[in-house]
Amino acid sequence: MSNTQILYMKGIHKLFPGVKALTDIDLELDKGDVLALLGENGAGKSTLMKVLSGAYQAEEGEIFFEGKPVKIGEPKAAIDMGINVIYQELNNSDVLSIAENIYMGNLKTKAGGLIDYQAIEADTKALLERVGLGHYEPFTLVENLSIAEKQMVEIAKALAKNTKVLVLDEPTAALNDEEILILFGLIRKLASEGTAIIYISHRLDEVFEISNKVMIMRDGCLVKTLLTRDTNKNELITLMVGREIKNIYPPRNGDHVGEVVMEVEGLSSTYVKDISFCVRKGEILGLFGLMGAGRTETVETIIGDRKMTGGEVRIEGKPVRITSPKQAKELGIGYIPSDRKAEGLFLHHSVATNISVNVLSQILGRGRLLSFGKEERLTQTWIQKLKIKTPTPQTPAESLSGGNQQKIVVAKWLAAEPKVLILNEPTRGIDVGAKLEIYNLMNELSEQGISFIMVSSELPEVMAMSDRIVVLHEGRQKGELMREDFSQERLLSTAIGGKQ
Amino acid sequence: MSDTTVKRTGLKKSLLSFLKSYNCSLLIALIVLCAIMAFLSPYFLTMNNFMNIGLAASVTGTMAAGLTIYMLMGALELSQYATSALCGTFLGVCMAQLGLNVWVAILAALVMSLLCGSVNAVLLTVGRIPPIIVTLGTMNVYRACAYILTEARNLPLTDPVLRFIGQGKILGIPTSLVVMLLAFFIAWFVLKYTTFGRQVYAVGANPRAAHLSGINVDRTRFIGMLCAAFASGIAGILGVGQNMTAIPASGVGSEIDITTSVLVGGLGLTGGKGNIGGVFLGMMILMVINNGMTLLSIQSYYQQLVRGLVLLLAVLIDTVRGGGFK
Repeated sequence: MSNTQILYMKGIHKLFPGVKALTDIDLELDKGDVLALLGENGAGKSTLMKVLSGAYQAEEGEIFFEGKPVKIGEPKAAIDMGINVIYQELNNSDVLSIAENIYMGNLKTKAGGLIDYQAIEADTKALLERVGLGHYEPFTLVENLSIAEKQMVEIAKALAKNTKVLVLDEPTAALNDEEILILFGLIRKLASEGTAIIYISHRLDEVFEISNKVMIMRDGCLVKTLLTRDTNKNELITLMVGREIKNIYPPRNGDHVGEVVMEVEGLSSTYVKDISFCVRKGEILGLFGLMGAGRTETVETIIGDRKMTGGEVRIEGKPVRITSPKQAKELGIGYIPSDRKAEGLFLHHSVATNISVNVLSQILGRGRLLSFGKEERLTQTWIQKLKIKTPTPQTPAESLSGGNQQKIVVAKWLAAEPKVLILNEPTRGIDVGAKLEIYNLMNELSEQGISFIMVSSELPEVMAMSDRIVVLHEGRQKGELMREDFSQERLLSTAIGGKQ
Repeated sequence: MSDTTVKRTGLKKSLLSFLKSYNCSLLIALIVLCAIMAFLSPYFLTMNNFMNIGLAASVTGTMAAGLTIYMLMGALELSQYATSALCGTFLGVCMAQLGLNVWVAILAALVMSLLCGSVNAVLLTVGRIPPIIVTLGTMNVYRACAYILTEARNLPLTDPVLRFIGQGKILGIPTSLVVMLLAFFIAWFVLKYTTFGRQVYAVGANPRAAHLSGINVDRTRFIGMLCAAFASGIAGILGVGQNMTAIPASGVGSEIDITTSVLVGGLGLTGGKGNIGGVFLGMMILMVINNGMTLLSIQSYYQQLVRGLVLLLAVLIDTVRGGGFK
């Protein structure tokens, strides 16, 4: 053990019900290191950082901090030790001043319990100098700051707590080039002062610019840790992708794919710009991209949930204007959101009403009133077709498993007989058996002529199931690949923002 | 298994599920409450007193029936009594000062209620102001309009139609009670048998999912608000008939009774759950409490204390049922 070592995570295992999230991870960090942590979505980076910050407890493994074995039982313990994580979503309070944000929960007091504003002002001033915000008065309101500056305030907050290990999770996602330079300057300065930094990013260029070590994770395992100067971009991509394509995907045969059903041309909204693609009858089109690529924004714009600021959507050749999900539904476009609990289901309501709510016109009987007999038959049909495991159709959706809940959402949209069904992360958080059922169903329905747009951040899934893949990067379309051209390297390097 | 046994097990099942339901608890609470009242006051069990409870319940109950549709979408409405007072005084002005026919005046009052509801709904859906603030504001605006309309005076009226509505009987049952029962029946029917009813529950349970399922959430909320306001209009007419006077101050201090009825009846503050049967029972419980306190000559400020506590208790029960203390 070198005497400059500050952090050593040894043999970390983390289990979630049914999933092994981390397997035997080692992470070593010396004072002044800038370690870039790389991996696809779902590789286990965030889980590892949550173990470090005390948000999760590892089932196995040890953590040594400054050479001593430690137990990090809760986030406060990590912070007290000097481990700070700055997440992508900033936690600033806009209506408070910079100083108050930095010392929130930790305000210095004078005798009598009064806040010692003078001491806080002086300390804040010094911290702001360190992070390059010296031109701001300590009591400036945070709402007046740019996103980059807010990030600096977060870092200052970490410094105020005597941080020895600083974790930055995708810190540059919302920054422009100039702001990134300022951030990098600060990172270098902190590193030279001895702070160790773990830097999570998808941008490979940055990795080479800022880090001295790179650690690559895949499927919850450590692939390799190497010195940045000994590697190159291509090697990193190869190390990131080699993800095992487990044999859980049914064979996909796209021979039946027919005429163009839907075209999207130059689609733009607040986040995405100039997206163009088409979907054919019976086709499964993959929409792939990393975090922040604009996948969800793109499909939400198509269905009229977000305001379309430019471009056109055509269905069977006819231009249509879609301003609400209701219109999209009437035009034969269905949307299954990624967060089924928050956006797809009425959790306290029964399986039956969850399905029928989407097709109320189909269960009307005499006098255009709801027919409970028709509802019962409709629900039974779909429960049997999709093999939804539920005690009765009257059981509340919340008491079913994730896979069966997802099937309810799929059923409710299939009942509406869409031409194009958009699936956003259709297998997120469901078990392997249910995944396979969803994949088989997609194959079967596509042969019957339903077209799918499958939004996914799972590379193996999108490759196994799609006939064609459109790749997005930071709100722009970066490429389109036919099935015969699919390769993990190509897709990932396109998604990272390189050339095809 | 023969047909009759199937029927019997089906009956047994539904009986069992009723016994486990919240409405059953409400029914038991109502019966216990009545038993206590009968014990405390010999006057409670008289026909005359039941008529009194019925008459008092008809105004609050009619509004509660309309409010149920709206509150199922998880939003508060505080302007109902003010709306009913405005509609009542408008009815009075139409008849006493403009000399309009009683039917025309009734129609005008109902149009006024829809106007009030539309203003609320526009502020809500277009202005995106939180419901509690919208109706807190319009509660004062509508009440003030009622005072301004009559220069803060009560307008006595003498019309046989109004008298029939407020004090007459149909088959021995007070007309206004019949109107209230009809309001509950319509609300029950709409919620159970129409697509709109289903959409109301969907919007209440998860507005985002409802929106993505192609439901026009704003439209559903708009119509729900109109239901609440229209019920207020009818209640306003009932009130005028019962007193044979248009009173701009009617219902001042009782504003929370309607909301309390609905909450005691098992509709949560968040929406999407509960049913009209529960609201009916909740409203009856509240009315029996009010009536009981009057019979026992309890001072009005103590009555106010009890009403406030009942409202808080109802919300507390809802929190506990929703697992808020787990």
